[in-house]
Amino acid sequence: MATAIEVRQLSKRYKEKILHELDFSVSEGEIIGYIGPNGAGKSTTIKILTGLIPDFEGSAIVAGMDVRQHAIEIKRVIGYIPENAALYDVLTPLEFLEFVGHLYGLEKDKTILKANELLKLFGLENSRNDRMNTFSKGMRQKVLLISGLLQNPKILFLDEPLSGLDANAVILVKEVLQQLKIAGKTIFYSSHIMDVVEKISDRIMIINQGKLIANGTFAELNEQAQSGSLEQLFTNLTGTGEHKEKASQLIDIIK
Amino acid sequence: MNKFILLLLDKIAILYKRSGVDYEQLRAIISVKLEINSRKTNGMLGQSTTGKQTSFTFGLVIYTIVGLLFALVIFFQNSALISFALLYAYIMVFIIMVLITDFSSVLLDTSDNTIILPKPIQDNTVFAARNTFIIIYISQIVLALSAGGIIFTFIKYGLVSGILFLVSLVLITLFSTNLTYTLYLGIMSFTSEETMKNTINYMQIVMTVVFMGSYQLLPRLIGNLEDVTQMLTFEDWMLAAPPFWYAAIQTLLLKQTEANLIIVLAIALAIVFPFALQFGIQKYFIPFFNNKLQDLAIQNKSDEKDKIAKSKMSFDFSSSIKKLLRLQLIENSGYLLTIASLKADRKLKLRIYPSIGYMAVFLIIILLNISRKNENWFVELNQTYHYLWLIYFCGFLLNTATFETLHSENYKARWIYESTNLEKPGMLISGSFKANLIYFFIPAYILISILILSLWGLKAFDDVFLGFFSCSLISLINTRLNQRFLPFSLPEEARTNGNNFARGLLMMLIVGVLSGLHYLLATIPYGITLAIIPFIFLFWMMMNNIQNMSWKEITT
Repeated sequence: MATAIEVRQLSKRYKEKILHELDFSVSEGEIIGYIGPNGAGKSTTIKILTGLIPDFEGSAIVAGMDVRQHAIEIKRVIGYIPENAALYDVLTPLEFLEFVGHLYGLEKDKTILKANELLKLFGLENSRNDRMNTFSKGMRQKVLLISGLLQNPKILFLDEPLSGLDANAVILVKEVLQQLKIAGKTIFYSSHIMDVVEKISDRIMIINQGKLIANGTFAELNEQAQSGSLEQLFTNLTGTGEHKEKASQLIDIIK
Repeated sequence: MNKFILLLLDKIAILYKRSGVDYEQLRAIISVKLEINSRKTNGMLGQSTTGKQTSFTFGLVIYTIVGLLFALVIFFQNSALISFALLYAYIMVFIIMVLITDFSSVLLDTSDNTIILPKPIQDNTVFAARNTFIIIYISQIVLALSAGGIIFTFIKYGLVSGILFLVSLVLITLFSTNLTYTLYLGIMSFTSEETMKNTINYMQIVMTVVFMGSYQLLPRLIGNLEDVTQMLTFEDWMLAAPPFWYAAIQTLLLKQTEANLIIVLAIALAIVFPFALQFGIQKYFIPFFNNKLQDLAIQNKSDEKDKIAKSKMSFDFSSSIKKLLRLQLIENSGYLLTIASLKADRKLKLRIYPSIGYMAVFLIIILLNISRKNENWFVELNQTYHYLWLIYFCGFLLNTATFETLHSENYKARWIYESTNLEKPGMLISGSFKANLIYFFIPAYILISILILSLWGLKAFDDVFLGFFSCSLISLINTRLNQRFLPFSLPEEARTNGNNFARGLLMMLIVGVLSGLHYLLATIPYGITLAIIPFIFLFWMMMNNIQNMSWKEITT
């Protein structure tokens, strides 16, 4: 299977080094769950791969193109939903999606048709002409998801895509991701919702303090660590497994 | 209007395409930004809430009036060099200030980047879109500001001069815009986003004062313009002042000066400099700009940590003042919340700090009025009670601060008050009042006291002392009768609430009664001295009364 993403010795430094020589590759059609504690470097990795941070060490190839040299071409074939992304919230979702379509050079009529169908699918058909400043977090997240799918990307980068979604929407997104995989799309996504990552990812990569500390299928990782669940595996590997003790301490403190 | 602007843009699409910009993408961005702008409130003048587009239109009307007043210089001053240089300087300063104030959000908006930059769009298209949007906005303001200048130039100097004025306006707009970009670039290269935003915040405060000051002072100054030193020739030093470059063009056309090397050099600078800046920006700025913004968005997190550490240090410092205030536990919460907001909330600063500048403008107006009536005004000044104006105008600062610290973007955080078992929520109000007193009013009052004592002498000492308690009392009475709200518990929109007019009237009544009483006491021998103790007692009583306010007495 062809390689969709290839990363070699990828490092990034601001005041201090926040990514340390990452090495991994992703095949076309794979779903990668990219997980790690807060501040581990997940979003920075995704921003580098989507051409948003051009200044880094090592190499990153996405869709067969070098990120440094072909950022624009890469952006044409990927979809990206950032964490805490802004929306022009005085616009309606339809206006916003039409705008996104313009930036991708999509035809106006087709964009509106597609946007309407996607809005309907995500249960937003009655709100399509309302300004988004009245939307809940979940509704905004749905609009963002649609904006990332609008141009039919080959590779989809999702940074916390399930944040704020209600249970039905989470199930819908899980289904959408599965269907996209069947359609041959590559999905690289980070999330804190472990059971979803466990269930839908072909492969899981765990990053901690800028270092890739695990990379494999859930079964492989589970076999190595004998954890039972991804949640347990995650806490074991990222060194945050003292939750019980911390909870007891908390009770003592508030007494 | 937006459609008309887009139509105009379509006419020059070829220029964009030739410079490698994706015009369709640029048009989409401009179209959306214009739409957003027309649905949002205006930044610099606007505190308006629902008027949306009307607040911007209202702003333009104000700019036109102020511009008309300033353009009178063309009628009153026969030296083209002076009159045009003054007018151009005014327009330039205005453009730069507007760019810094209203458009800092456009230039430094990293949230916008999360929408646009992940899309397949070249940096030069993003930059051109930002630039075009700013120029569209600025052009409307420049036209409003210079409408008077254009009319008066056509009337007084004729068609050619009028056309040259318009050409100069285009060059001035380009020059000022590019100069501001270069300034941004410079500051961004050497500083953090926090410092940058703070700098912009202070510029915004200055801008608000300049605007208000020019509105108040220009009509008063314009009559004196005939007395301005007659500078009819172009001096060497004028090469260092860009408004003179553009004024030189008119001066030469109107044959008010001979063509010489300096004049030619000035005109060359006027034409070449805006484009030279543009070239520099294109070459060095565009590749740097978006990357830098991306970096700033990430660096900001670590700056926040530094900021928290610094603010902790300053709390330690203020704890010594707190001891003097004998703050009670709950009162302390109101105090700390208000102090922290006064230090960190830029929007709050922007609403409160300009009133200090207004005070300076007010002082100048008082002195101007006095000096016009009497040539020996300075000698006879200390026989007047004009300082009472200053004292009570300073009291206005405290009222502004107590009013503004009721409002917040995050007013919903008031749930914290309601979820706790506070018995006397008035404690929070008194804590907040004390914070305003310490952090804002006392420093300003000390300054104004020094000024009053140096101009009027020690005879005003009692008045200054009484004035402090009287001003504080006005604010306390106003809080008790008029503003029974917990700190930061009202939404921003509540500021323009219809009830505020009635509140304002009541407030004026309180000021009128207390300042009138002060004036009467000042005319009675020992009246002020004898009144000090009762005023302190009233102050203490009001403070106690507010501290004991229950939930029933608080307006929620």
